Amino acid sequence: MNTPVADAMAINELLARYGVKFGIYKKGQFKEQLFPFDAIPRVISAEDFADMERGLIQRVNALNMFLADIYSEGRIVKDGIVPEDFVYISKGYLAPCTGVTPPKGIYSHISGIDLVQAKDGEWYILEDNLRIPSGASYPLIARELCRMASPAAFENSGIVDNRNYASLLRSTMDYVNCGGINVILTPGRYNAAYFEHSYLAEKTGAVLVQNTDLFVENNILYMKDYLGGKTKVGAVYRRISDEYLDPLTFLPESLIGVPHIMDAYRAGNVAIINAPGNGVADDKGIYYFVPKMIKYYLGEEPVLKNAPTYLPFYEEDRKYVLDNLPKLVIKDVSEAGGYGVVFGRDMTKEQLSEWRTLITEQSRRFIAQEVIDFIDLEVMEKGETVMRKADLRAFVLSGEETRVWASGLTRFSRIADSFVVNSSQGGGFKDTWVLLPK
Amino acid sequence: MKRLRFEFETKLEFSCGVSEHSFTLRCIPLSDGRQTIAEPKCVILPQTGSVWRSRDSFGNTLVCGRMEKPHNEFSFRVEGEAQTENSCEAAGTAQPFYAAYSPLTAAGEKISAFYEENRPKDGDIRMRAEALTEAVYRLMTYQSGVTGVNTTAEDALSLGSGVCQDYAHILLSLLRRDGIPCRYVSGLAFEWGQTHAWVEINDGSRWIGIDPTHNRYIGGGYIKLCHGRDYYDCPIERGIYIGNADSLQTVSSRITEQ
Repeated sequence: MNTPVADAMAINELLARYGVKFGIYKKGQFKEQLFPFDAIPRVISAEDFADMERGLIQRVNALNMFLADIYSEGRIVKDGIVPEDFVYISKGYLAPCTGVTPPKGIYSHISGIDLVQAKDGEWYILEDNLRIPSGASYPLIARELCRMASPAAFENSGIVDNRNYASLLRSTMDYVNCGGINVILTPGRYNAAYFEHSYLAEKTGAVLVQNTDLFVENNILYMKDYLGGKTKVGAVYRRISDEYLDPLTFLPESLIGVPHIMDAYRAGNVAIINAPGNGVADDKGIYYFVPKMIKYYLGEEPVLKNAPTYLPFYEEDRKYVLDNLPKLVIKDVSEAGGYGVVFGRDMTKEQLSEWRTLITEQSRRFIAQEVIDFIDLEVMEKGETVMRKADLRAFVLSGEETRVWASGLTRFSRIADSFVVNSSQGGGFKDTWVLLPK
Repeated sequence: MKRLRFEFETKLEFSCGVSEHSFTLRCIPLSDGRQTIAEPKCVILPQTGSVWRSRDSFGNTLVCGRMEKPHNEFSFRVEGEAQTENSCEAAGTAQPFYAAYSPLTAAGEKISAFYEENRPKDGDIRMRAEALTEAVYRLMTYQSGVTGVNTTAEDALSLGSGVCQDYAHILLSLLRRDGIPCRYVSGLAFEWGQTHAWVEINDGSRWIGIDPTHNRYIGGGYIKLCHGRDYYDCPIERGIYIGNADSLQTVSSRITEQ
C-alpha cells in the first residue's frame, strides 16, 4: 500500500509543478520559494477538535463584537476594560472607518487563529490574524495531491474531508455580497500569496482582478470588461493592506489601491473581506485583552487559553518582565510574520540590559510571554524521522454563522529546537487531519 | 449675525496631460449651529467624466469624481451664501478619537518639552486652551514655503515657523497632550485671501473654534469647510491620476459681507 509518507517526494514534485509557492522579499529582492511539504500529517482527534472549535467560534465572535464596538460607541473603552492607549493610537485603528457598519455587521470574515499544543495536551492561542490571513490554500491543495498520490491512505482512515474550504469561503462571500459579482483583488504576480489568490478564485468562482480592472462611480464598485462594459461588484476579497486600499482615503501614494472604494464601502454598496480597520483587534497588545472581551461581550469563560502574557504598559507586569526577562519571549506589537520576536534566553548580558531599557522607555510597543514548551511533531528529513516544533493556523469563517474549517495549516520549523515556524522564516508545512468521531 | 457671500477656487495646472484622474473634494461647507449655508454652486472643470457626492466618517460632505480622458488643467469653484453667528461655538460632542494623537499631531520630545514649559496652571478647558494658543502664537513666526502639507506638529515646532496649518497642528498636539478633545478645521476667513486652518476644542457639549494664527476665538467672519483629526484626514482636494506631470496649484478665496 502506498502511504503519503512514502510518496512525499512525489507530492513535493506535484506541488512544484502546480506552482504552490510563496514569495518573499529579502534585502529588496523578490524571491519565490516552494513551501516544503512534509507528508506525515498532524492528527487531531474528534474530541480535541470539538473543544477547539467551540473555543475558536467563541473567540472570533468576541473579536467581531469588539470591532463593531470600537468603530461605534467604544463601550469597552468607556467601561475601562481596554485602555484608550491600546485603541485610538494603535496603528491598526482607522478613524475613517468610524460609524461605518459593514454589510451584515461582519468585520472579520476570515480569521486565522494561531495555536500551539503544549506538552500536557492543552492548546494555547498564540495570535489572532484578522486582516485576511493567508495559508488555507496550501493544506487544501496538499490534501488534494495526497489523495491523488496515495488514494488508499484515505479510503478507510476516518478523516474529515477538508475540501469544503472553497464552498465555505464562497458562502461567506455570497452572504455579505451587496449585489453583484464576487472578486478576488490581488496586488498581482509579485505578491507573497499570489498562488493562493489564483487558486481560491478558481475554486470559488470569483473573478481574479487587479486594481486597474476596478473603478467606482456614484459610490458603486464596478469591474471593467474587455468590451468597455461594466459589471457591479458586490464583494471584494482583497489581499491589499488597509493603508493601500484607497489612495483617496489612506496613503495617497498607493498604486495598488482602488480610488473611492471606501466611498462605495461606506455607502453600503460593497462588502470588503476582511473589513478595513481590523488591525485594531489583532495587534499583539490587544491579544492580552481577548479573554476579557469574551467575558465582557459574551458573559462566558474563555474556552481556549492565551499564552501567559504580560503588558509592560502596566507597572506590575513591567516589573515582572524586567525581573524575568531571560525566560520570556518579547514581541514587538507592530510586527508580523515572525519578525520582531526575541527570546530572553538568547540574549547576552549587554543585550538583556539594552532590552530592559527599551521595554521601560517604550512600554506600549512590546508584550512579553512565557515560552510555552509546545510539542514536537515528527518530520521526515532525508529519510529519517526527526522532531520539530510546529504550530497550527486554524481558519474560522464568519458568514451567516461562524464555522471552523476542519483542517488548518500546520507549520513546522525546519531547524531543530527553533520555535519560529513562519514560512517567511523558512518553515515547512503539513496536512492537518481532523478525525471523524468514532 | 452676519450675511456673507463666499467664493473660492482651486486650480491645478499640469505640465503635461493626465488621465484616469480620480479626486475627492471637501469644498461644500456644512451647516452647524454657528453657520447656515444655502446649497452652494460648485463648478468643476473640465466637465467630463462623472461627479457624485459622498460623506466621510468625520461628517464632511465629499464631492467625488473620475475623469478618464486626458486633461491639462483641473479646477473647482464654489460660490454661495452663508449666515454666521458672531460666536465661536456650535453644539456637538467629540468622538473618542479626537482626544488621541493622530499621525500629524503625535507629540515627540519637542512638543512634550514645550508643553511642560507652557503647561496651563489650572482653569477650565477654555482657559487652558487659551493659554496653549497664546504659547503657540508667541513661539511661531508666520512664514510660507518652509513647511509642506505633510509637516508634522513636532517638525513645525522645531522650525519655529510655518503657516496656519502648522499652527493648528502644534496646538492640536498640545491640546491632546493636555487631554482636551480637539479637531483640525479647514475653511475660509474674512480678509485672508486663501483657505485657512484653525482648531476646534470640545468642552463636552460644544465645539469651540480657536484660531492660533491670530491668537483669537473665531467669529462671524469664518466659514468652515471640513474637519478631521488633522490635515491628513480632511484635505480640501486630493487626487490621483496617471501622468508624469508636475502640478501648479493656485487657490483664491473671497468673503464679502452683504
